[in-house]
Amino acid sequence: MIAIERRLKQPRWLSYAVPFLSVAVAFGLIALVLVSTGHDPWHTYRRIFTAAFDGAAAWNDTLTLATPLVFTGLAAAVAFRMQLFNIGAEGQLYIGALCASGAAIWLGPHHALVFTILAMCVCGAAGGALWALISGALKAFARTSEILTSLMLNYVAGLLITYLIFDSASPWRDVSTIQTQTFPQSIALRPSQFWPTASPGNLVVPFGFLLAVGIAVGLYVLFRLTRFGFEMNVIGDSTRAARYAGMRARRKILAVMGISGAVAGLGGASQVGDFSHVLDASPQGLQAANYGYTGIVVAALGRYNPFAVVLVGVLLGGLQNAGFFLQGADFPSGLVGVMQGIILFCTLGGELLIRYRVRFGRRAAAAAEATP
Amino acid sequence: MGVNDGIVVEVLAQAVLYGTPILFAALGELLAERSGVLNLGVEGMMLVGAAMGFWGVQQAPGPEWLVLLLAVGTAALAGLVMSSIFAFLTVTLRASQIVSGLALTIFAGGLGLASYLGNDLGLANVPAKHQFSEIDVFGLADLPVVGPILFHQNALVYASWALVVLIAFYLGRTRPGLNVRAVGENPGAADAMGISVARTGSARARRRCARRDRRRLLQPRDHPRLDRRRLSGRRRGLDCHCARDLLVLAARALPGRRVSLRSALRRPAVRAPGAPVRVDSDVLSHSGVPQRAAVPGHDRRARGRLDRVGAAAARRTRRARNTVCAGGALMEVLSPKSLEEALRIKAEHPEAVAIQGGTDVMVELNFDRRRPEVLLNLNEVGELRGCSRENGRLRLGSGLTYAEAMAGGVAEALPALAEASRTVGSPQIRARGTIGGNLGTASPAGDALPPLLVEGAEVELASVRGVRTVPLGEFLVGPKRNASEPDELITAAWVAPSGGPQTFMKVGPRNAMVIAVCSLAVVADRERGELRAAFGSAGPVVGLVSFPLVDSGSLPDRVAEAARPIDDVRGTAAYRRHALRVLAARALERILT
Repeated sequence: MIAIERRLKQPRWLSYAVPFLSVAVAFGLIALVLVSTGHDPWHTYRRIFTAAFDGAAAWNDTLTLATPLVFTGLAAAVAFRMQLFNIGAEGQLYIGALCASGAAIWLGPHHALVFTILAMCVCGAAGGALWALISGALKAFARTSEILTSLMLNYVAGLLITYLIFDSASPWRDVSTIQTQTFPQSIALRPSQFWPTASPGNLVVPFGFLLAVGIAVGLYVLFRLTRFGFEMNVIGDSTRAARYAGMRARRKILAVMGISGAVAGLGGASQVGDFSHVLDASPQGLQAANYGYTGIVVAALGRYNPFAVVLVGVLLGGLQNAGFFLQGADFPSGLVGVMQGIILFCTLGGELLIRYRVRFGRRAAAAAEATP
Repeated sequence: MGVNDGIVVEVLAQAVLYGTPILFAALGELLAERSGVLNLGVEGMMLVGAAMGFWGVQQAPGPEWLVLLLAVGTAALAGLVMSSIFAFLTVTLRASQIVSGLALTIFAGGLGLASYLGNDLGLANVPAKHQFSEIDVFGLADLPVVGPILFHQNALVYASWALVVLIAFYLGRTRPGLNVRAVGENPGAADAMGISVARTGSARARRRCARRDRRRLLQPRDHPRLDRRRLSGRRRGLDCHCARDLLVLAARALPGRRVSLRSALRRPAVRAPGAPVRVDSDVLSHSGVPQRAAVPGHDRRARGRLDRVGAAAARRTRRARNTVCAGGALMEVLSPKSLEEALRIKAEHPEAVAIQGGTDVMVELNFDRRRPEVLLNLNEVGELRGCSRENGRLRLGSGLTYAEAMAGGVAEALPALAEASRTVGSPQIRARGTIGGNLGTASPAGDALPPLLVEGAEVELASVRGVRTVPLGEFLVGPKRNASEPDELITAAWVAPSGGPQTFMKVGPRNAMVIAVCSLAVVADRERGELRAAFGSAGPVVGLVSFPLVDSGSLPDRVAEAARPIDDVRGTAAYRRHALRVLAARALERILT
């Protein structure tokens, strides 16, 4: 017999130990899967580690993949902290990328880089925030479920950028060469507009990653040290209690959706400025990466704590990086998703152990009798 | 060329066909949503179901109808396995539904299990061996227009229609179906009714997904090969992602949310013309003062008027003066920041009702037993808070809450008062309610009064004229009446703690959250060689008995004799007298042994 009961006290060490335990269990389960599909688990794990975290080249790839995840993770963390389920980081990221590349194209290459970056960031954040505010306003004024509206707006955003690049002669579309007329593409940033990188040693840290870490610090301060953050927590815990205390949930919903969308939009701007340098609307581009959805997983695993989100983002980025490295003739790409899924299941399920105590066997029966 | 060969008819017939997978999935999601589960992992479940169903088509032996049946079964089973994982995570392990759904999509979706199965079982880009063909089951396929659209479809399309009816029946007319809805709308209430929330949730999660996965079997007809691009989830336009979300949307929006169980049960409140408007009991600001009035019922005009008042009040919150609405009349709330200001206001408005924790005043306002024109909110007066020690005497500020009296220095000096404070109401009440409020209300049942009375407390009253102290015994002049002048405020209670062994006991229908049927505080003052006992709820005011310590054995009789209890809703006089006797005997045992 198994009984699950709520813990009266949640020891602090437990919230650190459990995730590690969960990952260990996950790797055990994955080993079973790997053995049963005819792969050597130890060898596979070594390859994962090498591909993701061994050496500067591996770290560079990991950071490249992690940067958008950290942005969308932070975006989700802000909103989810207030029980505002913004599933729309995906679409907000598209719009952020759209606005940021628009700003760069409109400004042209003849401005100072600092000014260009600033303009891209402001436009990207504003675009993302406005897109998120559609759901936010619907939630605040019409009590629509933000889950559904933000989810559906993802497709609107995706179709919008597809339309602008593939199906229209928009200012974003590059029509200068015969090649780009045949294979539609957006106008690329000039090298003078590329975002800089910091390079300690052989490592190349994209500016966007540093920006994301800066935002994480800012959000931490917001959550911990400001009245705004406090009210967010209260509203998240109990809307009614917040209302009795005179907090204005409606304004907070709008503000939080705005912040969440702005962070996701910055992710889009960084995607354009740091990595792709074009607005990649192709089916294999921005829209295939699912940054927004993965970001929600990142936020949940980081328990909506900004610093933990950065850490989990890097780990998950590494895992994705390893996934690209692993898949090939001898390793079907499907197994990569299965592995990632198992890790997620275990870490999500493990959360239970932090809040609840599980009793087995006779002790469970005794406990059940003791509490009628 | 007949009308049935026209492009419009053909397109509509195809629309029905293409809509069927979405219908299957929407029905599954509908069940999930009705049981209170938001399942974003639909896509993963569908793709695995599709892969396994196609595998069934390719592998199963026998005649075509059997193969297809087996394949549908396989697909359903695969979906069931996937949704069991989801149900285990969200229902048993209580993980977040949203995140678990997304994780399931990563695990099972186009870059996960479905893709692996598709490749490993050799399903991709192979023509299907069997497929559903159109059957003219009603013999109506030749009807103009509607014939090809509605009656020339394959078996799964008809099955989806049957399923709509079945699920509607299940949710609306059967006990298990109603249970599902109950669990979805209010798990707490369902649990109280004895429905297993976990079991309903997971059963639903499994069953619904099993159904949706059949949908993929339609694929062999139109694309007789399992589309690889579809498996990798990279189709443009209205792809699987989008389909999934349409389902979620459809499940939320379409099926009769209009009449939920809750709203059906809700009785529309009708307000008689001219009847008083009630101040909603839960509209309390953090200072315990009503901020906005709410009106029961649908009287729009009244509500609009009150909302305007409320909005105006909200705009003025920063000022000391607030206007709120109670009993249909405007009520002023004055929030002085200092004692001096408070006393001045009280002198100007002697009729103002002082409010501190609000645990007594708000009850009266809510039940419309009192309609004060002015409320004097003392919460922001710092001088009234906390306690201090002066010349061996303890000054308990009138703003001292029960929660504060339960612990720390006060509890050490006055253990009986701490014991009494612990029995007051709930943690919330104890955090708000104050000693000063207990004195001001002067109820015979006030829990703080007997412990203060046995310790010979004095009440400090202040007004613009000056400060005076009154012994507690003289301060309490009758049930809910005290000796303060209209312009006076209770600022503190002074006690010289005897340090003797003491205790407080009370009797109520249960151990917590009750008003005392009778209560007793006893202290053995060894210095003066005196035993003092005070009893509450057994007379017009809290009574005091004191006699030499050597006669301690006579306490039960003396207390019972001194008490002047009455019969009321909480108990009879005879019972109270008897209970006091018992309490006295117990108290003696507790403090003298």
